[in-house]
Amino acid sequence: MSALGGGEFKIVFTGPMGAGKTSAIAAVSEVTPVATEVANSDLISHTKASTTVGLDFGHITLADGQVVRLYGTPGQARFRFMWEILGRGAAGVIVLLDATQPGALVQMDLFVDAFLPLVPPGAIVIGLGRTTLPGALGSDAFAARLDARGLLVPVFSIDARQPRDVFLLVRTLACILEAQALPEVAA
Amino acid sequence: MQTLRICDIGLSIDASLAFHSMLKIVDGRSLASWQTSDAEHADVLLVQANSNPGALSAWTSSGRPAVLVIDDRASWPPAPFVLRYPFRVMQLLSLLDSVAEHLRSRSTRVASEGAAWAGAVSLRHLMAQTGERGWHIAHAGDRAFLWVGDAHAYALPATLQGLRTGTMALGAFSAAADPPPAAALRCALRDVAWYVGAHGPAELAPWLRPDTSYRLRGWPDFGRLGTAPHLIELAATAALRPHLPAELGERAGCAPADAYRFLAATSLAGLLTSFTRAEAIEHPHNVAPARGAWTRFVADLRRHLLRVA
Amino acid sequence: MSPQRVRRASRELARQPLETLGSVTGVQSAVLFSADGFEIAAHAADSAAARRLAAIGSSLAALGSAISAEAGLHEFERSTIESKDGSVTIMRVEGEQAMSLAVVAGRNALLGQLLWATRQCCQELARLIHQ
Repeated sequence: MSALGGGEFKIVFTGPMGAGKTSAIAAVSEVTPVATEVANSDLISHTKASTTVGLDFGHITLADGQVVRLYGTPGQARFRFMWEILGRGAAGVIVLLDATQPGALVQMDLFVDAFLPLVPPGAIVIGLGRTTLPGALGSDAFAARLDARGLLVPVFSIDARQPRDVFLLVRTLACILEAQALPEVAA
Repeated sequence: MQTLRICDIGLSIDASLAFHSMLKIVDGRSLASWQTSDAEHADVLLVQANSNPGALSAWTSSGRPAVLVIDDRASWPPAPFVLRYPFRVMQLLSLLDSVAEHLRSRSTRVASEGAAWAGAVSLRHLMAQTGERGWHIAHAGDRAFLWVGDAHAYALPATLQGLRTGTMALGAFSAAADPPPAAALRCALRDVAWYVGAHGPAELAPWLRPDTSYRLRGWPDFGRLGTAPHLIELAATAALRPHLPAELGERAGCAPADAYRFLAATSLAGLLTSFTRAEAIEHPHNVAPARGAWTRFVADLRRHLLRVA
Repeated sequence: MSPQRVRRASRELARQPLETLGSVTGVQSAVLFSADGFEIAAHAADSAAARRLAAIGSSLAALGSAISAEAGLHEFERSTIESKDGSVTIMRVEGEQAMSLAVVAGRNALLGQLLWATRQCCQELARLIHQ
């Protein structure tokens, strides 16, 4: 993992189509993000009018001028090659899910499996959207599934369009990284 | 009226006689009813200053108050309760009332903290009884109620809000004859348990031990529950490996009270596991090697996010 | 017409222009794809290869649009990825249905000829599909 090599600090937003990755980055990026959205021609699979095929790119600038780059991946499996390109060297990954989608748990497994090897241990946070809608699974179901795999990962109920919720996800990732980076004291 | 027992040791015979006869004089005029007794059964010790240091330190370490008696010409010792001999009735009366007041307010403090934990302790017992049928009810604040039954919690919206913000304290549960009213909202029991713990007293919960290590076994859903300062840092620290309660606050960079409340909340919500000291030392955990510049960078990011969010 | 039907119809219409392009010196394969990465028609590429080219090609086309916009340039038209032993060219096909063409060529292709033939193919595809 590249620490401060070249001042790179990137966070990747991933997850299935329609989970809110593009919205999330737009909510917190200081400038209008670069987006690569095109018309969705597969309306049977998803009714969304547009979809990301390249990447989303936004950033946050810290007080001392250092930059945190935010990348959003496309969601569909045929763009899997982008997951590895964008995930490589990332400080952490935020997986966004839609709690009302059937198969959301399987989707979670897919993205967690794809990104766990690419990021530092534990540098993963899950944002669960639309949990208040009818038919939505609660965050407990997702946490339990991860627990069954021996993974301790935060799963938060959020709205990916709300800056406060997206900042909560990024802040949690930063806290995880900081807790890990502290030097150990003798037991 | 409060009855208090007082024992005198180390006084001269004259002083002791004077004290006993003055006690009879002030009888009925003091806040408490005073009786003499032996040291073992006494609530208060009256002792000649410097006469018996061993007995005095043994007494004060038991947490009970002592009144030091000094001679007219001696200098005033640094003690909360001092009486000068020869005794004067008004001085004695005033001093006895101060001691009675001190004892009464201390027991109230203990009782109120006990009451604050009573709700949490009671809730914890209730949640552990998986086969429990029927309804249970507890006070929430002065005039509101919380019902538990059917594996959920029920309360009026204002009550849930009060519990969520910590403005209502939960009392102990008792069996309820009736189910909650129709207007009551249903809420996850673990969520209510979280709020009760998160707003508990600023000390280690009675069911947690200072010499036991604790680790997070599941993150609270801060998106749903809401966050407070330091909760995320505490969770990130507690998720890494087991910590002693005193250690946790320090590593997470927050006050001990914040760590204790976090531990109470997570344990009530079923998100905490405990380890003995030996197990804790053996516990594997992922820690990246410390890198000064990296650590500063991440800390800067965290501070920035706290400002903008 | 549904996008799937458009794709099926377009596959038939694209056959001839792609074959013509395929006869140009050095051209190894060509794939016509939708902007969101579905292959529509292919020449000399098995279906798995065509699918992958379609997906990656659409990302490149989208990134090409993004960088054109960043640079203050007019619409993205073409991108050529060159390597020692060949090239891949992504060219936009004009029209309502957003599509692009990816052409894989070997070292023996003459760049000028290749680009001219690719442009001809795209124009023909635009005419046939969007009429």
